[in-house]
Amino acid sequence: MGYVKAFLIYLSLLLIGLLFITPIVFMISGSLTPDAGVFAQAGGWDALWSAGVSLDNYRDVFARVDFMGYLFNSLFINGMIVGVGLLVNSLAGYAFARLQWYGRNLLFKLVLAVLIIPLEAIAVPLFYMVSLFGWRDTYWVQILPFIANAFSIYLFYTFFIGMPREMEEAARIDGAGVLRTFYCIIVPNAKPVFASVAVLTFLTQWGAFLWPLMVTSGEDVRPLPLAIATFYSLPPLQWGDIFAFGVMMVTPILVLFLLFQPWFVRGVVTSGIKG
Amino acid sequence: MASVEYRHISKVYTDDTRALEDLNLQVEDGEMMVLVGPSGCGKSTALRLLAGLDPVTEGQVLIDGKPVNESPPQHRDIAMVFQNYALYPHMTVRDNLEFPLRMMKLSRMERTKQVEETAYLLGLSELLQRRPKELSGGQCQRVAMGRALVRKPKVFLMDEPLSNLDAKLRIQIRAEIAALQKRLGVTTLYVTHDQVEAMTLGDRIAVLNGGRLQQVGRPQELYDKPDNTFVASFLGNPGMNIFSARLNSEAAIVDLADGGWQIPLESLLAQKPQMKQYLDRPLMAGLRPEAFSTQITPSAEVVVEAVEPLGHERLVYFTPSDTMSGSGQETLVARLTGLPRERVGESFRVGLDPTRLCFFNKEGEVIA
Amino acid sequence: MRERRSLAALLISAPALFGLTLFVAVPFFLAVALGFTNLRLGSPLPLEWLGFEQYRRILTDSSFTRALINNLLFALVVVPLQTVLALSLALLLNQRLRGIAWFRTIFFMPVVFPLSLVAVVWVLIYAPGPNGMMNEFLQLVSFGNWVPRDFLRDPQLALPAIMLTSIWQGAGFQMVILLAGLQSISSELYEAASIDGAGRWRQFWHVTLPQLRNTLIFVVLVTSILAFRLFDQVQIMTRGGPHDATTTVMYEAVEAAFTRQQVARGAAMTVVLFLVVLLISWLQRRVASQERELS
Repeated sequence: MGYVKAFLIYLSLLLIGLLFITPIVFMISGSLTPDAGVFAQAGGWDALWSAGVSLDNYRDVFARVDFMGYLFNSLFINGMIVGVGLLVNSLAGYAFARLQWYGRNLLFKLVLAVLIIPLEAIAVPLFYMVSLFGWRDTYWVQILPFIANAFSIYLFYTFFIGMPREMEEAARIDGAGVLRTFYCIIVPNAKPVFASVAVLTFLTQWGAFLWPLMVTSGEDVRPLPLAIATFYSLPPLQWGDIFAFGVMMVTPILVLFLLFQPWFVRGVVTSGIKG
Repeated sequence: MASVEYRHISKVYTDDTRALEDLNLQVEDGEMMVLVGPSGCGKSTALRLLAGLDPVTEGQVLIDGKPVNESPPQHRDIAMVFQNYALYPHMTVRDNLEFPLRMMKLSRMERTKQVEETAYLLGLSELLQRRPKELSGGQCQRVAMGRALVRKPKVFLMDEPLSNLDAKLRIQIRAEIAALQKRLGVTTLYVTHDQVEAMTLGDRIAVLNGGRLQQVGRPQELYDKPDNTFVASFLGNPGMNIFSARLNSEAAIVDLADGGWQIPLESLLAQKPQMKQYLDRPLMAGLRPEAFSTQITPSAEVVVEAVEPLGHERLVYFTPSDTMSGSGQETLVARLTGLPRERVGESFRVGLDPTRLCFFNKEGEVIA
Repeated sequence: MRERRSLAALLISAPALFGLTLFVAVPFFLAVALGFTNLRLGSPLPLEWLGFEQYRRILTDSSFTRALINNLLFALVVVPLQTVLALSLALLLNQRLRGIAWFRTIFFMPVVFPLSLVAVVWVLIYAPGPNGMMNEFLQLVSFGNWVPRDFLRDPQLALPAIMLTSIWQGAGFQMVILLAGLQSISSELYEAASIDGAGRWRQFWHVTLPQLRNTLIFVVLVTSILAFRLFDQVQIMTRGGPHDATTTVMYEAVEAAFTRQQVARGAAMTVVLFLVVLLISWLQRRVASQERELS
């Protein structure tokens, strides 16, 4: 490749990259800037090189709201959705892919049909249902509806269908039952799909906003994405504090992302295989 | 140890393919039975029905005289070696061998003892800590055998266990399997599409085609006295030559390959009196390639189509030249020894041994 | 033996099937049913069957029609822009150059940001007055000709501002999928094309695009559906304003069902949303199957 061409590619990547990263840098540097009169009202470019670095904003966040509580809520809710979801959906995917049972094909078609219904299309009646049950303002109302996931089932199904059948038949002949075959033979050889589904579920649920907004009113069970929105509307408007909140909120997932980037990419790409 | 019986077994898959039709087959205790046939003939299905991997549509499968149609695989006390070995990739060789024993809930000591015995038997002792992907094809094959043998099953099933190996290894392991089976005396059903494997391994061979059993018997029996033209041409490499034959009562001769060779009718009828009823009716004759020779009579002038030298012998493909024009001539093949003299396109004389002729009616069934 | 395995299969798939039934299928049919009534939460009025009257009402409601138009506009602008941007980025990244993985990380990073956080950060970027970051940036690139605006309170600029925010957050997602699509194109195709004398540009049109077609269709489908599900940014950045300039179907539905307790009205709106999603999927299928017939 010619140097000129390489140079042009780097130049365009650098320019676009700068545009992409600026809001993030802006947020981080804003979170480290001590509150100053002007900046408190409106953040300008000054924020990027304003004098001094301080952790005041972070201290403020902890003083003003129960950040750790929100963090726990988010981690607990997402952990349950991802963990229990992996178990439930992988088993269903396996039953559809490998076991012969009455009604399987019809049920699988229904699962595929359900794939197309977005949460938004059912949010209102679901909200009505959980209100009737008196489930509002609980962890469960934020967890249970998202455990069974048609798309996860579909991803597991396609992976299991592609695994060599003989391995399971060997296990059956060796004397393993359905469940034991699943967790002794299938699961250890299906790590990629478990990782992909875990990442995809986590990615879509970590930012959940609409549903928690509808079903929670108190602070006790609210997750981070909702917390930052309420924190943002909580007077006095302190941008430094809001950014500090944001940085802390995104750090866990950013660390996960940087550590397991290939899995994130693979997870996202898996979602595209459907096309 | 155990005997196995298929009793009027039919198998129709859910997509309506008929894999087996009324299969009746008995395997004796300690016997090595080879199921052979082209792909799709139903041989693997027969094995899977016995293993309990697929349900039987009609009939009964019996192990030791007891029907097992309704028992799950793990209760049938069978073991199976798969074509692609189906080793558990995430387990070491030791764990692979131990897995069936774990399922039997044997004590740790008992498990270790049996794993080590089996590993020693198969020369796997050095490889116990390796994973399948660190093994060669031949080693994988041995581990698969070991996993099947380790729990001392009543019946041993092998589904094309050698087909993923290269030619040399295949011959070596073939011999090992034969020796092992004799030593352990386990009733074994062995599925293959390779007739050489069938001939060398089987105490008896069952030839299947299109879901139907064609013939069962000792290898030499099937080779010499095939029940039909399918068995005749399937066994042997190349298979039996099949050509037209006519018992000409007027001229008192037997016309072979549309007049290519002629033999006296009298001597044939003396040997096979039951052939009288086929006088002057179209028939088929079969002859093994090695029953042709340049040294014997009756002989005929033939044209060489191709010569395949194999070192110690040669295969000569030819068409009889004296035949009546216009008749559909088949290329025949002779297995000849000695130095090659034939050249493509030239003619030479070749004779046949009339005592080794087989005759089939026009449905392809043998005339006994 | 078959019965036992059948039972086992039913048992292990039961939790998932139960969840999908209770939390997707039932609410879905409930949405359809509720849409024909006048149900209000905590209302003393008796439940009435309205039939299509409810739909007539929402479709003649100026805020709701505005919301539909806004979603459509959003889709019409964001889908092509974001796809072209993502494709360009994917093409740039599909080169064997040192350090290219770093750029992929940067472009993909916004995807892991929760939308609500993104919205809050961008509110500040759009801050009014000459010190606002976006205003300052536009002044810089227009050599001082830009008059500072209050983006999120400007009826003309509020929706485009949300669009830009969404593109920033979402482009990386598409880029990664398209990049995988690019990398799965066999290099032999390019070699064959260059032997046939096709230049870079022709290779792009005759090899890359056709090979990428299914991936592109998928990416466009997902982004279009996302465009109609738009909610988080609107709720945080503009609350549908100013004067419905940024309201969306979902925003209206939540307003109706949640703020005003008109559950039936909200349900009817989400049914409309579902029909749009269905239509988009159907269109995508048709386009994809045409491709199959052609090839």
